[in-house]
Amino acid sequence: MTRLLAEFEQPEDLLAAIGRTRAKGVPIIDAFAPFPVEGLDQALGLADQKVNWLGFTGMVLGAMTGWFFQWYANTDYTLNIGGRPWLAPPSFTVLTFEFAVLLGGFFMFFGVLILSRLPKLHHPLFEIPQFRRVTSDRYFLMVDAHDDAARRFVEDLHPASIAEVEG
Amino acid sequence: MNEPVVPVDKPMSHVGDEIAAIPLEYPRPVGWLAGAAGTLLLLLGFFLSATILFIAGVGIWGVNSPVFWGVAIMNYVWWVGIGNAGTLISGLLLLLNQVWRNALNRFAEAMAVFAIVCAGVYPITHLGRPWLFYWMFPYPAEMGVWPQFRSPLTWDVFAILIYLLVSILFWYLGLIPDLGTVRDRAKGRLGQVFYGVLALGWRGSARHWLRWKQAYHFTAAIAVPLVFSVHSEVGMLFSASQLPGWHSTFFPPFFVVGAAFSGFGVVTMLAISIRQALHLEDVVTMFHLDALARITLGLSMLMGYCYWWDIFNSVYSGDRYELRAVGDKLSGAYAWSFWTTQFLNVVVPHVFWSRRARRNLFVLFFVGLAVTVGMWFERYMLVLTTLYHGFLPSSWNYYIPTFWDWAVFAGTIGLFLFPYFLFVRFLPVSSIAEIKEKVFQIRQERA
Repeated sequence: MTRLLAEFEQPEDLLAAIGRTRAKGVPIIDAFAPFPVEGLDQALGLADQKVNWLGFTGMVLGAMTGWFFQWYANTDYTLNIGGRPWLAPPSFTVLTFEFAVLLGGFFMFFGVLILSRLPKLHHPLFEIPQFRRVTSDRYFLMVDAHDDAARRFVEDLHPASIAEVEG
Repeated sequence: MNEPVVPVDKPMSHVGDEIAAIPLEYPRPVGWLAGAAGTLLLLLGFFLSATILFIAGVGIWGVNSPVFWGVAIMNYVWWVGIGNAGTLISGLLLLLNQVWRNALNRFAEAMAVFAIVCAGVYPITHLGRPWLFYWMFPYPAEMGVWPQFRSPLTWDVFAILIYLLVSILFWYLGLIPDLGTVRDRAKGRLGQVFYGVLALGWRGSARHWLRWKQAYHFTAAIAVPLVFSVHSEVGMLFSASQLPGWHSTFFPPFFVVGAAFSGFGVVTMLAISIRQALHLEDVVTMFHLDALARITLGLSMLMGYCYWWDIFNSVYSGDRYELRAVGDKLSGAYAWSFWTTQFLNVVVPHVFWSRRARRNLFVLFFVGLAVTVGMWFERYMLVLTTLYHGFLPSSWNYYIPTFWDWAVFAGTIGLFLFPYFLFVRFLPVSSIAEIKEKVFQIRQERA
């Protein structure tokens, strides 16, 4: 597999190139941009909701943990204060919600990292000099140029530069 | 409304050039050193006064029967409020898709993190035996007792801790792409390694952006109600007690509004300071400051409504002790703090009806300061008016903060400002990627 990295100067050029590449049937590996470009997900056909589901799962688990903990503490050692009920849902709501937020936040934060295989301090892409501008003002498309036709197609997209990704 | 909110007409690299250059080649090294040294002194003052406090005990403070909630609890509420507003400004405006938020959110979030640290420290300093603070946590104790989960005091421990953790996660998640920008601009090896490690190897992949965006928006969506719950719970610390002036269902929303209000005051001051010190006129525009001023004005009117609704509520109850608490508020021993609050929080922000005032940096800064100080006096008034005048004449007392009350308070300002100076020096102060995202969206809409 030969991975080619094409550089574009405008986000619109990247989006147009993705459209042409998909129409042509050349497999796209990934696209890179300095900011979440609106329409990039649709252009690439990405519709992954995993992080949202992780957040939801974290919140459900957090709510269960929070509720269970308060229930357990009050069952294990009942504090009778003025005869008030020891199992008191109104009092338990606050911490139940807060634990839901805590676990939801943790699930999403670490979900993003794990699903994205981060932290990964070195990546073959960092060897390519022009890729340093990916966090500034350049947009990149990485395709699997398996044959000469695909390679010529990438050249036809008129990118600012083409580089081969090692490794 | 035709003013540029984000630098649309400049090249995409412009925002990054402006913001990412700051941590690498700090433009005002001398001023920064002076400020950092000054705040470091305050921070050392905090460690000193806290050590003396822990050795000598809370007796060196002015607290005594019946006023056991002195400056410590006022400052606790004050700092939580400032912190909560940081998340509110960042999260709520993100959910409302406000373009102008992106210049302000990063330093508002930093403000939230550092303010909540100050808030978290205060309850520990006001304990009689601070070394036993871990009793507040549910650990399997030998006696088999657990914390009282039906009390707002226990909710408080968790609320502050969870809020701190979630704020840090939210802040760091937003920082990762911008740390990548700083890493890629760094010329020296040290900068590349430092920011490279912090950026976790961010490379702007479309898949990573998709996940990042989901997590960022979802976390904002749950952080906003978290703020409401945390500050409502702070309000319930008061209203769960059965004391006149506090025992009211009105306290949770009242406190949430107050928190947002004080935070807008502090954010206005920070925005002006950062903008002027780092020449970020392109990023934090007059439009941003104008928007902050408008919101401050709106919240000020809401605060005024809250103060007088609170009084009406007490009067309408007809309870003689509630009525006495109202009397104390308006003309009691601490009435000066009530009227100072009214002046600073309700009267002063009305200068913002004038467009010229909203666009004058001095006026903006001083109104921000007035609001911040006014919100401090509000807590002074709320805590003391109820406590100094107990049910029996034997529990009447006039509380005066001592030198050590003020020393710890000044110290927490160092505890807030010194990390803030580090943040301004070493991290990107505004959200580069999000500003670019908005620039692109606006260009698309124009095209």
